[in-house]
Amino acid sequence: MDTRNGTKESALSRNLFLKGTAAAAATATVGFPAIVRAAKSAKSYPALGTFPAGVSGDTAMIGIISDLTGSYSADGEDLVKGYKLAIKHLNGGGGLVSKVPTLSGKGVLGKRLVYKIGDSETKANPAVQAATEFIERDKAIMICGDTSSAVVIALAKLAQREKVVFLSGASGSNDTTGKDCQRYGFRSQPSAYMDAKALAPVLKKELGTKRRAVYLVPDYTYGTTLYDSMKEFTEKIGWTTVNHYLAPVGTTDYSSYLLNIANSGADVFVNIEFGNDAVASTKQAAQFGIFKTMQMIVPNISSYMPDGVGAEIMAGVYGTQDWYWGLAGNKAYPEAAANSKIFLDAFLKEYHGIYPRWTAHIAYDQTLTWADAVERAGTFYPPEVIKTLESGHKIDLCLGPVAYRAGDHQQIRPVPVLKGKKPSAMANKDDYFEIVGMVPGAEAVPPLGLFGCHLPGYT
Amino acid sequence: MILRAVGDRSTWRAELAVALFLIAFPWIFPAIGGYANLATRILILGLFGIGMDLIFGYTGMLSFGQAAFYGTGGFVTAYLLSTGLLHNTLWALAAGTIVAALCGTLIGYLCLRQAGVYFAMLTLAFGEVFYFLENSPLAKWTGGENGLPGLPKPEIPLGFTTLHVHSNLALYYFVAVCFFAGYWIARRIVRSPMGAVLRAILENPARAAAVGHNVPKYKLAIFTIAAAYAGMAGGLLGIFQGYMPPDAFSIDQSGEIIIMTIIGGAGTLIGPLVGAGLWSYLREALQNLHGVGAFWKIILGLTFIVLVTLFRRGIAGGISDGIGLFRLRRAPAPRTDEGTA
Repeated sequence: MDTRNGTKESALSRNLFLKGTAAAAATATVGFPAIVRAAKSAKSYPALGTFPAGVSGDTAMIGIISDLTGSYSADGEDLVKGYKLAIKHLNGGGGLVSKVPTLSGKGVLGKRLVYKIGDSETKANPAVQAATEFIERDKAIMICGDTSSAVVIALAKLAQREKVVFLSGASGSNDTTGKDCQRYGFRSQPSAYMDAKALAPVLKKELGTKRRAVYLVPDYTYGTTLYDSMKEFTEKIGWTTVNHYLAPVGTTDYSSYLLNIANSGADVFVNIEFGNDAVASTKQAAQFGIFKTMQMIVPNISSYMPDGVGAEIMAGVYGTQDWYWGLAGNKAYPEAAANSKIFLDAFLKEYHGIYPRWTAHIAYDQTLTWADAVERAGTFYPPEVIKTLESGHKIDLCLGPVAYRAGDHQQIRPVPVLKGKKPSAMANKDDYFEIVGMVPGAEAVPPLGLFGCHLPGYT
Repeated sequence: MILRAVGDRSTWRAELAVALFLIAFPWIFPAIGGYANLATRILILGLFGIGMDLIFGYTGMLSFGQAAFYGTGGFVTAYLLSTGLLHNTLWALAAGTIVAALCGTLIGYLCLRQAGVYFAMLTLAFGEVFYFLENSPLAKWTGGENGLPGLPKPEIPLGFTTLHVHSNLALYYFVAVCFFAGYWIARRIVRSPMGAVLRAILENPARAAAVGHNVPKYKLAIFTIAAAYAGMAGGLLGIFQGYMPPDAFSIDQSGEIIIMTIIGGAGTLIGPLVGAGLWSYLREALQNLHGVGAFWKIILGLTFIVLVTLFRRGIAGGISDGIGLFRLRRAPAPRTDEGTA
């Protein structure tokens, strides 16, 4: 019995072996070039994270996490529009994809990009939940998104643990590329420090050196680090910090904070609130009559804040944004003008006349930057993609040539400083700002290591 | 109620059914687009919900502050594991559960002096206090708005060997064992004399006191047990995702567990699991439906309104009522008359 079974098995395996050899020989003659190409691109990297499982077929999956609902949902919607447009261009050509030599407009490394979107509700847990599913179930080769630094940091830590590249959406906290920096996380938005440093000289010139500032601060990493940086740089130009008030994200009634702010004796109101909270707090501040006595500064102006509060309130407000569509075709800023125009036109066409905001810009430019890095690395293997992103190679997109800093993964890029236009000066209903200046990235970035970044390992 | 009393011979049937379901769930779930991680999440919420059901479905106390214990258990477990103070996952989980139960005793002692809507308001207030504590004064330990990342995958030393729970399916069965233990204990509680007293309190607290039961003591005991369930579920959440989120403490979390319990069927123990399953599954499915996007919450809300209107005792309650009706119809004619009279 045993022997017979044994004989049968070995006969069977010999048979299989013969068939296999024949098949291999057939493949070798017919599909030899294809195999050589595959071998070259795979270069026998070990399995890591979702590599190579996520790119074994003819598609590569991108997991997008954004605020479809929640306190920052207006910004989250714009962010999603940016990702969708970038993926459309990477798959089918168009927009800035035609300006980047490495990008073919036929997917990335020949893989068509597919995506799924998960709602973070501006909370860490749903975001981590969605990202985990994208990684575990869909084998996402890259994850990206969200508009809250607290959520972005949670996602970056998840990405580090799971060894999947993460491109942060809107995140202004110094911690994102400071004490919470991750090897697998990249951030293109200016940090709080960069916003404050870019803004301070303008404030000194326009508002003088003897100002008294009071702050309304969202109570999490973004708010507190932006407050710290604004305090540091405004005090350097001679301003006094009267007080600051911390409010939880998603606060609906700001009256108790605004009452204190109205009575603080300050003449500058620095509103650090973001998203829907920025709109709610500013509208309520107007009801308190705060703007009759105080100048408002919004160090990082949310995508849809001007639409929410109206141009009358935004007129004369100073602040920064990651990008503003007014750069498109703007002769004063030749480095950004042409590419911004290409992005603006493509976006207006895709979304039937809706103007892109800076959150869409982050999504669009970062996705292209990632695709370019994958193409130049010649593989999706995460450490190689990361090393390519860290190489200092500049990519010419909406803001002109930009690159990530290897030491903390902060993008070195110019910071646009804006001032709200009077309603009478607006050329169209989206023309909320004049661009006061563009501070070069190298001047604005904090010295490496200031915020305690120690990047973890590649594997 | 009659059916429950009749079930003496079938005491083990519910446990067996639940055990079989737990074993099979990750294998049948993919047929409708589910997957192991989602199943694990559902079990964690189901375990949290058993505690909610014990106080709400069986004793009639509506607490809006259960997230306080969910978060407490979660953060204690997460802190112990992420700092490396404890390496044994089970000890950390036990520590989280015990601390949550102790908080339950304290909060229960303070809140249970009131009943009805006043009790609900007090638990709501304490829930918010805990959220605030986590976010600001205790941020050094809890990570504040950032939560606690970096929990290692579960390691369970059994003396002779150490279990490394790494794959998604292994994690599911780890949580499933915890869920089953929780379900089994809850069944023992509700079928014990204590369970009878709890139901008496639900139906008429004054009469329960009049016949000599120490109502406040029973309420405090079950409130503490419910807090322990919440704490254990919170601990499992952190272990499962490797990250303990601050929103475990949020008022939304307290609200969600109430909705899941009611949708699934209060007073059934298994109802919260059904509710959590429906909630989590629809949440995923709707978000991935083309064109739904940000409207998933509205559709989910409308679905729940319909369900609450259709099933007054929740889905599990509705099903058990349906089975009861079916049995009555099939019974001999005279008994049917009695039943419907």
